[in-house]
Amino acid sequence: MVTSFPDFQALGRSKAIASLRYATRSLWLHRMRAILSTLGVVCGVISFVAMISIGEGAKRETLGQIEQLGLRNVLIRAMALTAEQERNARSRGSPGLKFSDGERLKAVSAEVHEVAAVRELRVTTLALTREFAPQVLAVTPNFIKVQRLEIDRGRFISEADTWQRNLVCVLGYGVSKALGEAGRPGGVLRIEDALCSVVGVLKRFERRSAKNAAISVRDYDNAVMLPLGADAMLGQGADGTVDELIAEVSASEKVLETVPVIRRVFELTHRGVDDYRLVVPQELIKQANQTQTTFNIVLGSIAAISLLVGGIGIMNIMLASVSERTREIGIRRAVGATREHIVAQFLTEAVILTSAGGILGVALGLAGVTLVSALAGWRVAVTAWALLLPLAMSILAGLFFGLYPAVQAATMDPIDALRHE
Amino acid sequence: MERLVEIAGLGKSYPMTGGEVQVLGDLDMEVQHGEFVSIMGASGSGKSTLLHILGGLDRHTRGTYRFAGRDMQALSDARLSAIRASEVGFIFQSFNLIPQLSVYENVELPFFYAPEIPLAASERIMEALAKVGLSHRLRHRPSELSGGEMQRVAIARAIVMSPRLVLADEPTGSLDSVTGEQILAIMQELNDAGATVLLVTHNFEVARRARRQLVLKDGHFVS
Repeated sequence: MVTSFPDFQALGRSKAIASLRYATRSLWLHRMRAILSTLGVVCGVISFVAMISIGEGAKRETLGQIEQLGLRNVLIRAMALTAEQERNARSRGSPGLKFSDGERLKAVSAEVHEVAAVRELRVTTLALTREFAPQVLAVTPNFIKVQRLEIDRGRFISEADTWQRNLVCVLGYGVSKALGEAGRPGGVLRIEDALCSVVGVLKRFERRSAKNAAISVRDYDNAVMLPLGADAMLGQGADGTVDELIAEVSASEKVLETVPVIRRVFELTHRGVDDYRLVVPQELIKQANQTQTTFNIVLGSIAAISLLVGGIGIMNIMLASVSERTREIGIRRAVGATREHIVAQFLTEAVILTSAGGILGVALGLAGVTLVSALAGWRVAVTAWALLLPLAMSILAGLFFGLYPAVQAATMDPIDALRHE
Repeated sequence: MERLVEIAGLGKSYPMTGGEVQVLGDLDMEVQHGEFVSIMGASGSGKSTLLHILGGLDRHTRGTYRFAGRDMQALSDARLSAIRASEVGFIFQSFNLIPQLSVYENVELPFFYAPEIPLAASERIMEALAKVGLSHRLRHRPSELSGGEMQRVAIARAIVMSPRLVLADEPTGSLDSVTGEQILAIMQELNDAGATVLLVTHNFEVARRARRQLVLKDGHFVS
């Protein structure tokens, strides 16, 4: 008696399982050939995993550095000039980068509502008998706000410290820790020949390592900050120049439209002399994204070519398999296989091959990027899609490159196939 | 008796360089349910081609062929495949087993492709293998069997779906006379049990085992 199978889902499942079992067995018969044929896919998937993980890591690293500069900020940095270049700039009417430039900027642009100034001091710092070399900065009181720093203990430099030129200092977390008792509020730090009272300690600052000078972020953990003006007591900043102004714009979406105004103000005050440099973190992000896109296209192309070569290898091996199994195809057709069954059978085998290659490639790629990260110190970011996308690509490669051999098999004349020796 | 196979004016030609080559011409035949018919003919007489057409593996180019009342020419490839899976069983001279599959899996193959699955498939596979005396060799591969055993596996595969028609193409052609006799005895038993068997052979001794004999010569039946 022939009747409809009562549970079509169970039937589908059992047929699917049997299909996988038969496909695996056919591949197992020529396992060395199957393993070798998947190597191309393995290499392609390794490339993809590495490309995505290393690319994503680099992107996060760069964006992290840029974000630490402040997305609402525009940095105006004084260029390091030789003595001759400086004489030349002065003779052309540029006074150099000054605190007053910031004041003028605030007066001209309503969108610039804070300007902090920084002067990098070249001094020797001593704490009791222990010598160390932190970066010493003279800063305005609003520096903590525009740089999004936080106080751990004590307080930051106040307006009163600035006007009264109090010789007080705020220490970075690392400096405070290195100094021990002397590095806490109430302690005393010797800078050159002067004694400086410690009034505060900053919270730990996780600085993103800067490899590109254009976006370097200072290591505030290893910094000592004094009031801008008080550094005159140390014989510094007599000419009133500063090394950096940080202009904070009212809203991040107004930064790019404010930049031309800032640029114009500085062109006028510096009489067209190019002795400063504007660093706009938002523009840097844009550039970083563009660079990342180019990087992704190049690496993605390499990975795609690897996968293409791997896929062609799979197609080649599947064509050989179809040719060797011509008689089997005829037998299957004789016992009732449709063309679709034959296509499904060979596609299943191709997809098993590429999926196995994909899984192996993902595992090796993961191990590879972990090793690269450990040995080269690169930051890598392994995301779910860094693993799933290459795997999906390998499955698609199996479907794509397995289709032609599968169709070749399915369109064979069953009688010719049965007669094939 | 109900007619299972009806062919009228059936012909088959192949287009070749320089014109058509006719393999079968104007054949008329009827096979009733439960018959055991042999078609005898020399090599090249067209008997295998006729068998392939009757089993839905090939299509005729002229005339009509009705199988269990259905016009085979009008059926799609997928429908013909479905008929091959569940209503026709083929037995070939060279056994045509799939070498990487076990005896059980070779017999199971038609279930894999049948659009409708008979209940208790595994019981039916075991039953078919028991009929041919191979219940003890389920896990063996074809390469581990003798020629006679391989042909018995092929018979089990042909009958496992309880097809309306069993088509045998020189089933003893690759076997010694003793083994061939065993195979013919099994086919006789199948027919006795109600199966319609159509056998093609060039061997008169084999052909005479059928209840009705037809002779094919140069693509035509001769008396």
